[in-house]
Amino acid sequence: MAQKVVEARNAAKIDPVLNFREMLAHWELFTLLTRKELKIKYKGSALGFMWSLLNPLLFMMVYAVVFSSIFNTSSIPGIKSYVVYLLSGLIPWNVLAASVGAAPTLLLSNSNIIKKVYFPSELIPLANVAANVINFLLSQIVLVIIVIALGVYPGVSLIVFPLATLCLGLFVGGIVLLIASLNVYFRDIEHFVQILVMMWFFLTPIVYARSQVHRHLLQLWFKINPMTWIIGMFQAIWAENTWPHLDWIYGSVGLSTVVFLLGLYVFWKLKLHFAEEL
Amino acid sequence: MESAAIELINVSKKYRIFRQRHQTLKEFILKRKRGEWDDLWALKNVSLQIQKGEFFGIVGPNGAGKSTLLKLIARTAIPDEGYVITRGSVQGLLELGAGFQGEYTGEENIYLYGALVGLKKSYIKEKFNDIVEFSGLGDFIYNPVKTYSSGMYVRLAFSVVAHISPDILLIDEVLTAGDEAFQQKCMLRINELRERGTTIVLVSHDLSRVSELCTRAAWLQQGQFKVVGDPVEVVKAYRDAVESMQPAVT
Repeated sequence: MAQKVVEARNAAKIDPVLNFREMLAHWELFTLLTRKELKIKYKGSALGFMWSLLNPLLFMMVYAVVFSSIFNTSSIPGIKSYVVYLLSGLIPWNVLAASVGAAPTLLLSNSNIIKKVYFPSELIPLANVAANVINFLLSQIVLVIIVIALGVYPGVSLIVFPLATLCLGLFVGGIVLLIASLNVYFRDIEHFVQILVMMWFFLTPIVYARSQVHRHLLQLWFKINPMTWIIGMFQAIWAENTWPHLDWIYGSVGLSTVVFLLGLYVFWKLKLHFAEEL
Repeated sequence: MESAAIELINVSKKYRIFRQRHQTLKEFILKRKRGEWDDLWALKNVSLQIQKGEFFGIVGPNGAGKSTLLKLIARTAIPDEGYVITRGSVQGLLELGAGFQGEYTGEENIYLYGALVGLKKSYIKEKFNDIVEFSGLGDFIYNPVKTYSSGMYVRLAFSVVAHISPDILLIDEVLTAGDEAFQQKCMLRINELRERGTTIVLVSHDLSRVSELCTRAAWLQQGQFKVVGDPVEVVKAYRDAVESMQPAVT
C-alpha cells in the first residue's frame, strides 16, 4: 500500500470522480459479492441452477396455457412463435423483478459491514443486479433450446443482443440503487415497489403483443414505457426476427444511462448517513 | 516539510437522538417530518494534525467523542462541518468484529475484509498464513465466526488489520477482549508497524499504557480537546481532573 490517498471531505460534498475511482479499485469486491449472490441463488448446487432455469419455464407454460385460451396466440402478426415471444420478454423482465424484489432489504441485511468498514457500498446492490444479469444470460439457454426445437432461428439482429443486455443491466441497476438507498430512510417502500412492479409487468407487452392492443391511451403508454423499449429489443431479436426500432435503441441507451447515473448520484448522496440510519 | 497523515479542520459532528422516529414513507407524508429529535454534538469545532509515524493516544471519559473521532478518520461517519483529510490507507479496529459476517468462516471473512478495503485477493492469499498463525486460531479459522468467543473475534480482527499494513492504523478500546498474552503480542506488532512508519491512533482507558507508548496524546472532554501534547502531561492532567471530581473513588 505505497500509494498516497488524499481525501478532503465534509457532509455537503460528493466527488463523483473519487467515487468512481473507488468503485474501480474495489473490482475484486464486486466480483466476490456477485459470486456470493449467485451461490445463494443456486444454493451451491447444480440442482439449484436447474431451479433457476425451471422458474421461467414454468411461468411461460402457465402464461402460454392461460393466454392461449383467452386470445388467439397462434396468429399474432409478425410473431413466429408465441412461446418464443413470451420467453424472450419474460426472461429479461425477471432481471427487473428479481432485483427490485431484493433491493429494499439489501442494505439492511448488510448493515453490520456498512457501519463498521468504509467501502463503496453501492457495490452491494450492483452485485445483486450483476448476479441477476448473469442468471439472465444462463436462462437464455432455455430460449435457445426452444428456438432450435421449433426451428425459428433469429437473424442478424442478434448482434444487438449485447447492447440490449447492457441497457437492461444499467436501467435495472439505476432503479435498484434508488430503491435500496431510499429504503434505508423509508422502510415501507418495499410494499409500494412490489405493487408497482406487478402493475408494470401487465402494462408492458410481454404476455401479449403491442399489435393486439387497440386502446389509444395504452399505445401511447407503450411509447413512453422504457421497459417496452428494452424488452422490445429482445422480442425483436428472438421472436420477430427484425431489427429493433432505432428509436427504441437510442431511447434505451440514453435513458438507461441517465437512470443509472441518477441512481448512483442519489445513492452517493444518501449513503453519507447510512451508518447512522441503519 | 511533509504534510500530516491526518488533519482535522474545524470538525463538528452531531447525532440525532430521536424521541420519536418516522421510518416509513407513510408517516413522512402524513407528518411531513422524519420524527422528533435532539441534536447531540459529539464533536464541536475540533482541529488536530497528526504527523506521519506518530503514535497518538486519545483519552477521555465515556461519551467524550473518542469513538466518533476515530469513525470520522475511518470514514464510517462524515463530519457535519469542517474537513477530515487523511493521507494514506486507513484501517481501523473500531468495533468488535470489524464488519465480519457471522455466517462466513474465519477464512472467508479474511478475504471479504480484504476485498472490502480494496485489496487484491492475491495479496491476502500471500498474507493468509501469517494472519492465521498470528491469530492463534488454528483450525477454528474454518468455522463460522458466529461460533467464536469475543476473544477469538478480536484475535482474528487484529491479525487481519495488522497484517495488511495500512499507512494509518486506528485502534479503539477493543484489544482488552483478548487475553494478556495476546495483548502483549499485539503491542509488539504495533511497535513493529510503528518502526515501519505506520501512523497509529489509539483510544484507551489504560492511562499508563498511553503515557508509556504514545509519542503524543490528547484529552477529549465533551466533544472538545482539553489538552493536547506530551502524553505524560496529558494523562496527568486528565488523572488530576478525574480525581478532583470524584475524590472518594479509588
